[in-house]
Amino acid sequence: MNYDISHSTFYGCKITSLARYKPPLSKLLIQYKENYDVELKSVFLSYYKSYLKIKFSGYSIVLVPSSLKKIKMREFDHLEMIFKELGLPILKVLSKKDGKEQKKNSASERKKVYQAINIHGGEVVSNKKILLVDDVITTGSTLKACLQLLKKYKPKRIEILTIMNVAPLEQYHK
Amino acid sequence: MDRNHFVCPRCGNSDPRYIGYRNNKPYCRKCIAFSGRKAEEIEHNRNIYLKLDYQLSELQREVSQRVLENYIANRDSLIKAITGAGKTELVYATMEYALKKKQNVGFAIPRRDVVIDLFPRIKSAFPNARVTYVIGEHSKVLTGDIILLTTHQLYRYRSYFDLLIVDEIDAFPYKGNDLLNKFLLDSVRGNMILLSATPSKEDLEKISQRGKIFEVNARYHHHPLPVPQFKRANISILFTCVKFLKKFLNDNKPVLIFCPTIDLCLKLYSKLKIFFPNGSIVHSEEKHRNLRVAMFKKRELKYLVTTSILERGITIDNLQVIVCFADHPLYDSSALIQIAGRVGRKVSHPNGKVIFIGEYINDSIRTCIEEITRTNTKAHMQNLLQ
Repeated sequence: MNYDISHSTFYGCKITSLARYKPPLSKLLIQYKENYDVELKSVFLSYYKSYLKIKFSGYSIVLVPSSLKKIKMREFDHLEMIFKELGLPILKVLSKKDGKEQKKNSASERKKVYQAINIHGGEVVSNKKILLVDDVITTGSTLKACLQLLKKYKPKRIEILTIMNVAPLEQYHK
Repeated sequence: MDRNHFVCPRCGNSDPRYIGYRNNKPYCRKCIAFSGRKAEEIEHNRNIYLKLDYQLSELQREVSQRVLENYIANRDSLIKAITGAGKTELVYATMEYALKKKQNVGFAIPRRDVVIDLFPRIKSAFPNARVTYVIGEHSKVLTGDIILLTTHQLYRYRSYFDLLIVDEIDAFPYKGNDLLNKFLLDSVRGNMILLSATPSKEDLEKISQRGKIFEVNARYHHHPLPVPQFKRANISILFTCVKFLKKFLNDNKPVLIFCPTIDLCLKLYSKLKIFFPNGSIVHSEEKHRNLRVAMFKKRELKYLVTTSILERGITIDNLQVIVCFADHPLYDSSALIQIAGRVGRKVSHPNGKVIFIGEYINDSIRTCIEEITRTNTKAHMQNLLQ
């Protein structure tokens, strides 16, 4: 597997990514998300799991949202299944209005995504160490939108964890 | 339903190790990689014709005609054509016949890059046909008059093809894979033509039951196949390899040096490049391999150290081949025959050297040399050689 952990900064938050987005890991993620191969859920974090459990001990997880329609279609929340393995509390404060899938959008259309994500019950985030998680970071617009919503509720700190990054992490450095 | 009683309705798998659970419902993980859009039927409304810019040899024309007659009689064919026989052209006449009858025609190959290589050839042979290639990676279009595809993609075409041509049935990943085999058989509603230089006993048995086997034992230029020579590595493999490489490079001949693993390639190349700087290395994890192969073809690189990634499909004029660790367990006789088949493909230089370097002659090496010698003898008896 092409695991290759990297770190950088993203809008003032530390970001960690476990691998570049390419085969065989990318193929496995596609098989998991699009062919609904649920049994793969434990594969993605397996290589770094012990390290991640130590590094993010005391954090609460916030998932980047998938649309309710997709969760229903897949019959499972693919991110929740993966990150449950870390044994950290999961705060479901972000949700997404149904709309076009990100992967079908061009980069400019992706940047409008901030309008499509909502936060509710964000108070639970205050004063906590938050780990914002997603499977793939492509342009970063989705993560940026989530960060902006979370920061309003003044968490103690926010760190980001993605499984794969399409471009090298330094390119997202802002 | 529990693991031990579930049988997959798609692929028939009942092995509980391949059964997963989604919301407490079982699902089959063996064939899960074969999920996706299915191909629709389309109308073939063009009058498609074959256009060949070159002449087939008499042998090619004869076999081509007999294969067509076999297809018209609703039988399968297996063409056992040696490396460099020009086997693709042998099916053109049958393809033209099927296309004129508005049938669904497919051409399946185990490897993706060979599909891409074949595409321009088929397009120019059938200039007014809609030719599509389907290789995964979210191919949008699945239909056409002629569909080129990897054997993996056949799951999308259930009972679809009136004529399915399958090339390199002895190549990975198709070889020995039950699932791919099953999807292949399920995709054919008419007949198939299998192509191989080194078909297995099982392939031959299966076809002889319901079809015909055709042999092409001579290359289009009617020169015999070069027979490999075994050289025992007395001092070391490197030493023997250097000896032959030096001679070939002095004669200004391009050389391919095969090693069974990426690791052995890297080790060998790191030493060779000290003595011979104008070569390079090629393997599946090397990003620049296409560029290096192109440079080698243009003679800007004088030799390449390579894994079996270059075992098939490549044609270089006046090529010489050295196989290091030829007695390695990864080399079966088919692989060695394919590698030896890289030499002497062009009429300008129909002979060339194939050197097997190893510690001793094992069964694979012996079978390879015997099979090539036997093919040459057969060709000679059939009056096919100059």
